[in-house]
Amino acid sequence: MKEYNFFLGCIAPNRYPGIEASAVKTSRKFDIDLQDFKGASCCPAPGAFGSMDVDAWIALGARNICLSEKEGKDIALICNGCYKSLFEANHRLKANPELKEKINSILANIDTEFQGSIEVRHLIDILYNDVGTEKVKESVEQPLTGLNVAIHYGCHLLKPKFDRTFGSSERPRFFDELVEALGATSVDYKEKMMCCGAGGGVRSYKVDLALDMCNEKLYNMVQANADVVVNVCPFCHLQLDRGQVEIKEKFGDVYDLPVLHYNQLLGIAQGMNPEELGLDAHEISVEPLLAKIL
Amino acid sequence: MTSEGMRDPKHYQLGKTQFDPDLIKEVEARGGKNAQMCYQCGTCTAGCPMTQRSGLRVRTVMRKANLGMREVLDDPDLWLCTTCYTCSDRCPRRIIATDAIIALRNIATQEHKVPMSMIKIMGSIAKTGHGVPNSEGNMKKRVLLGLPENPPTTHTYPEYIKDINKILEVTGLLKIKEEMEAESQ
Ligand code: SF4
Ligand code: SF4
Repeated sequence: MKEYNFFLGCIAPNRYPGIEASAVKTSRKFDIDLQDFKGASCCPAPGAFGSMDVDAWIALGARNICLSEKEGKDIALICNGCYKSLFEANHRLKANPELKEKINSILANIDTEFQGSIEVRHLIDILYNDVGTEKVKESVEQPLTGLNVAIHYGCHLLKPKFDRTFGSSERPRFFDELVEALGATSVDYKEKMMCCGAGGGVRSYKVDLALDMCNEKLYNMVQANADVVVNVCPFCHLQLDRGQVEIKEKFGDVYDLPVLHYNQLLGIAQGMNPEELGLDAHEISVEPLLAKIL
Repeated sequence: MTSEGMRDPKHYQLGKTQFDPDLIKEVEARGGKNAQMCYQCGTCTAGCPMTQRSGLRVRTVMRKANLGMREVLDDPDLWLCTTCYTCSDRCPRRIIATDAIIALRNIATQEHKVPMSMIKIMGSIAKTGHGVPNSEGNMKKRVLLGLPENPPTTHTYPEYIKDINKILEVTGLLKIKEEMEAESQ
């Protein structure tokens, strides 16, 4: 059993707890134990916080990392925003002694020192690179045959690519392979790699523009006959799910396209029931999707 | 350009526009590495998802920053970048334009030009540890899933929040927040 401190962030535990629950339950099937990470906070939100002060953003991220360093556990997380904050803070601090010194002088005020002794991993990275698509496939009890999935990678998982380990940010494949391992089809759609529009603080600053971007993505997905959008970021998830309600109110466009985090899709494929995955708590009903596969 | 303005090594002027040669150095020092290498090809603007729906033009921001036009710090469109990093991954000069924009936002924050929506998120983190805190409706959803009402974060262990505030204090952000809140009243 590989143990991780499970970094939750904000949106998953506080808006879409089904994402949190499904990550823990589906990971157990692969002998991955996502444990309570005591005292963790907001990563903090890279768009909003990084935009105000990069050093404070890194220091607050390092506070989270240092808590896990003290327990000697690597961090696993399920949100691209958290990934940007914690992966980049960890990576930059390990690579740049000058920055490390500067941030440690801030952290000295709370009797904390960044060591650089642990790794920060996105669960999708662990699933693809450690577990592997073959084992993911073996865990499937309910193949998702015939299901058209529009994959939304999300920006901060892959970009900037010089600061990531996934290779191409224009035509990546690993997430598609993980979806295909469940028996579903990954449909190609126009501007697949486009942003959901929520990041950088834009959703809270000018929600209409954030939603306009999301609207274009949803339109392109529906044009490609998608049955569902699958993401690996609760903030993209919120933008795509609740965003559809807002888009309907503001612009009159209706898609009714269900939105799932990959761990929830994996949970369905592993034979879990929709309630234990928190699917009933989504704004856009997932019933049409369940009717198609169950 | 007046000859007088030209002679001032720090600030020179064209009509009413001020040029500050230190601005781009500050952008680079704050993480916008190699921003001076921009050769204005426009690849960034062409691929930016905000270009077609807003006034944000990345290439123009890069030009203004390089020319030292501090007015870019007052541009409300500076805050429309979603930080998707598409421009950065495509830049033929390998400039991370997104980080240059973030650096400009950091400078604007120092001058109290940050939108209050961002300050609010800081306030929420200072108070609860979370940018998006838990809610009563969500607690019920959590319990139905077999999870505790509150996650094991600062929500369950509020004693950790003081360290967060200490970091906000020593980096000067708490002061900016308080001053801006006072100004907006
Ligand atoms: S793509 Fe790079 S070099 Fe070209 S204009 Fe944009 S920042 Fe400058
Ligand atoms: S990072 Fe910002 S400026 Fe660059 S392409 Fe994305 S939205 Fe446009």
